Amino acid sequence: MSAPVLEVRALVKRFGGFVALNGVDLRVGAGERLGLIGPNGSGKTTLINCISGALYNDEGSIAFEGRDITRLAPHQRTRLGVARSFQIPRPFRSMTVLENLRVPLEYAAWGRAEHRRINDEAMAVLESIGLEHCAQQNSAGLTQVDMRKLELARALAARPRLLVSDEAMAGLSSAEVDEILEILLALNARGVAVIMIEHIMRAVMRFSQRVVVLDAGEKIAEGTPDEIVRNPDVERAYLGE
Amino acid sequence: MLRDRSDVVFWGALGAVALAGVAFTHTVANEYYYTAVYAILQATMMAVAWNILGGFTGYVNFGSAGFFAIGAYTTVALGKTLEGLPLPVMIVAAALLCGLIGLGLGYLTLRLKGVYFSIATLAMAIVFETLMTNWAYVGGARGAYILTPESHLWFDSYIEMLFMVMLLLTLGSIAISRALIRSRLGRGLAAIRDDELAAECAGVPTLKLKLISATLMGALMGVAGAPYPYFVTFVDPASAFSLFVAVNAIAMPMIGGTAHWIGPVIGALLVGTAQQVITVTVSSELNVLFVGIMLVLFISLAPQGIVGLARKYWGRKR
Repeated sequence: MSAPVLEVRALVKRFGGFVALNGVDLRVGAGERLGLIGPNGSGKTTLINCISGALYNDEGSIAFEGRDITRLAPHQRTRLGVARSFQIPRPFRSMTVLENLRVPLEYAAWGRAEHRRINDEAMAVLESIGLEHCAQQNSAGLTQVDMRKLELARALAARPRLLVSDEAMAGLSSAEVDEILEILLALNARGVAVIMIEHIMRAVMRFSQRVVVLDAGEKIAEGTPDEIVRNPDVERAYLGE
Repeated sequence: MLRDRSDVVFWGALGAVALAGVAFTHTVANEYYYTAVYAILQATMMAVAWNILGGFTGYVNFGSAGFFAIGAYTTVALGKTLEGLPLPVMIVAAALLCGLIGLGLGYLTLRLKGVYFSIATLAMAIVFETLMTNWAYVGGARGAYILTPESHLWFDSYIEMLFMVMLLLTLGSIAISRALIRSRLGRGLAAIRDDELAAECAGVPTLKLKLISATLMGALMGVAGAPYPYFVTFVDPASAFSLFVAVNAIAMPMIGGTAHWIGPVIGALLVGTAQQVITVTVSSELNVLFVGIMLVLFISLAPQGIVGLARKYWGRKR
């Protein structure tokens, strides 16, 4: 495996007496496609909340491109190159789709963006994701699939080197799932490492080079999609004894 | 400064209003009109100031009267300590002090979300009212009389000059508010209002931006309050910290529309003028009721205010 972009070590997160994450290790190589799966309540979203900074972990460390980011605020992590999308879309509802993208371009990517051409850059991101037709539309009125695309587009506009996609496909039709999958693959082809959290196995298995399985806050398996499918522990976690 | 046509229109309108103000002082002699317009301008400035944190950033603040009163008391205290200090010095001092208090309050309370923040601002206003009530130097609970300075430059009376000062301050605050919401900073604030976590994850340093917003709000509120002692010539905690002042500062932007810079201006001009008319023609108590009814009507029927109604109307027409 190439040098890691993300290195999570012995991560512990407690909510009161409940241990949501119990010593989780996670490495993501540069440009890697990692699938993160696990039953409901296994700690997937808690893990990515800790990676993005929405929650602070109680123990353990998180390093991005060799730099310790454990105590950094979310906006600082985004500036370094860790972007995320939300499971339930959270657009800036008072803004148009284009303006939604201006925010990450003007903040997260401000150091790298051409300040006079922000609108063009936002438009380019929209085109890459197939959302250019609703650039001037109010973001609150989008359809479900366009809302998911906007989530991804906004994460992309931050110019990340690691994208964490939290269930971008949940509730979408099969054709729409393929559409999102193509977007993520195209993005990855440009060198962005992707952590994909998903319940749709068909998508995870097709997308991932490596899959990590969480159950009850612990990593129970790790391997190629084929290995994971045959792993008895994973079967037990999902289906019971 | 003049980047497109709307800039030309805006600065043209601002200039025209300023000139109209000058013309007003040359044609109208009845002092009542200056008092009435001054009150409306003061309300406009407070509405604009409130809207920076309450409207643009989405943090509803019940403590506006606190900042306004501290601005007023800055003038009282400075005027007593260093007699003959000119008004602009008082205004700058009030801006600095209230900006600083805004920053401090923001640092203490802006980690609180939604209604908790609002309650904290209300508490702050009460704390400062208690402080002023017990500070004998500025009159304590009895209040303080302020002598109107004798010089009034090239104006016919002091109230005419005060009116012109307030007009320029109000226009200035409107220009600041407009520049803010159209800037990168303004987009960051709007992102915070829409969804704070999503804003953070888009790289927006939310705490820093909220502190800037609170500082600016405090400074403008203080500036609105600085000339107030000369306007009323008597300041006491009960009137300066009056809840009605705070309610007005919230009601006017709500009625005008909080998302756009012009919302608080429209709301303040409309409600402020109506209040003056009602005070004179009906009774001074009834205007409190009027604001209450207007606020209830707008919040339940048109939560986006007049600007929202206009947008809906033009949107349908197109």
